[in-house]
Amino acid sequence: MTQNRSLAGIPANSSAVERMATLVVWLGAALVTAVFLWIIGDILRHGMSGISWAFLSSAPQRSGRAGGILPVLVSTFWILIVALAVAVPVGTLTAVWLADFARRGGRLAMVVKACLDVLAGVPSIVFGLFGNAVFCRYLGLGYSLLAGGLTLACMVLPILIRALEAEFRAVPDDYRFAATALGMSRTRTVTAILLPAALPGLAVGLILGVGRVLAETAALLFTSGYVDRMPRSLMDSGRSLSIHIYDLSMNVPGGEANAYATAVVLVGLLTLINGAVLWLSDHVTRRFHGAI
Amino acid sequence: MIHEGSTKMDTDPVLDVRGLTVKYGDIVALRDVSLAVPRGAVTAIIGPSGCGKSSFLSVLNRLTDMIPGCEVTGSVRLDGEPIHAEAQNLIALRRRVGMIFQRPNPFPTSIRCNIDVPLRESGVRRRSERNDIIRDVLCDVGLWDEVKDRLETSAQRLSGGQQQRLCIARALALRPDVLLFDEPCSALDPISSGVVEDLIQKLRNRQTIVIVTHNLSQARRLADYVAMFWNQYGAGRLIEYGAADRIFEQPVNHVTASYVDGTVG
Repeated sequence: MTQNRSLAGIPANSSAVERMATLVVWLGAALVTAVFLWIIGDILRHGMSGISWAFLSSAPQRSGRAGGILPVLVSTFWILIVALAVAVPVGTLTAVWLADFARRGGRLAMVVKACLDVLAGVPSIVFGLFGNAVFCRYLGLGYSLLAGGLTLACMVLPILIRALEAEFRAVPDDYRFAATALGMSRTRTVTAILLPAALPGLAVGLILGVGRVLAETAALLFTSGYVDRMPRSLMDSGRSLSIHIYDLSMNVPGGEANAYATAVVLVGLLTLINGAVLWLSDHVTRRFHGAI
Repeated sequence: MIHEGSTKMDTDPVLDVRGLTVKYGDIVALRDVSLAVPRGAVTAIIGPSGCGKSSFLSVLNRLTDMIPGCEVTGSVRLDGEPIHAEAQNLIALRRRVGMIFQRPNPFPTSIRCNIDVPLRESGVRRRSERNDIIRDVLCDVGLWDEVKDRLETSAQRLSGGQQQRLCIARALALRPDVLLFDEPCSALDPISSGVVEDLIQKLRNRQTIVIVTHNLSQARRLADYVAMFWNQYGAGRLIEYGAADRIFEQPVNHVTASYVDGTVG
């Protein structure tokens, strides 16, 4: 045994093992990157040619085979706004409650957390059924952008809350003690110190939420419907980008080209929103934390 | 326990602690401590780790309320008023009894905001008035010249010693009657530690100060009165209390004598 070991006590064959391990780790990373690039490349290759100002600014014709996607963009926008307008405040409040107000290890907090964990794992189609039963029928909203947005809000809340709660918990207790010792009320401590300190986490939670909302198809089929007309109000039915892609590629023979073009728009939109949220969070964080 | 009679100690205590016991669940951190903190003086709490010094300090501004399972019995009076009374306004109490922690804990905001936010919260509405106070307290802690041109930059970019002085300025801004220091220099390098100690020297005539310290020579330099805590039968006790000179020169308790000699502890 001893001959096989170098002076430092490391096995002599370690360099070979090291090299293998390095290779495997690099392969893993390369594989993930390759799959990602393949998907993006495929979408861009097939879809870029369909992108034009006319495509973005006109209504679909012949079930989407021709024309553009303006009403779909508008519907997507409204669904996103409704979902975030509900999920972000409710989610932030719940996360603050879980992290700072609920008794640590208390029964109620445990129940709420268990519910959130179960809800986070529920398939979106089940949320769709729930939204259809509650928002569309019971509350009488019908197939509408409002019902779709509210359903998606329910769907993203569990993920959003757990992400935010983790961020609030990561804020050092030092700040809480300091604020308390300075005679600051609990509410003020949360709004003036903890919320701003957790802002980068809020941004990440928001991006997760936006991603889920923009990607969702199943839950919306039951709730916001798939009419491709321009919505006149939140009570109108409307079609989201993801449903448009689904419909064009599955139900409309000859719709593939526009499905790809729509996919380019969806990916572009996601990238744009993520970038904007990160920039905004960085900007606000800088202002709050003081210039560096 | 030896409780030395001294006119200043008996006639006009700011804080009067009687029969104080602090428990964390089944663990008794502090048992039956009685101690009067004299007004306008520096009282140092000394003793080895785990004898309840910090617990004693955080009873005085009721920060112990934030610790789940912490139970406090006995009485603490601030200017004659019991601080554990039902009607006690905790926010008002903490503005009167300020606290500086072991590790500097400035908020992750700008230097100005660190002082401005608690000040506004305490009811100083006018911005110009707050700016005056911010300048005054930063001057008091000797930080003004160092930071006056970068009040909007992050407090966390300051050095450890500067951060601790900012925390002291932040506490001073609320014009507290008593300042509690919980080993304020133990996380600092020797030079910063000296600067903070000089600052406490400067405050001694304006402010009642209670300071927990592990550093006996610091206690010697700063304190008017010294309270010696010791762990007896698994609980922190006050074993000797009196004027600093007497405790260091002629301690009555043999444990205190060995501790200040450096032969035990």
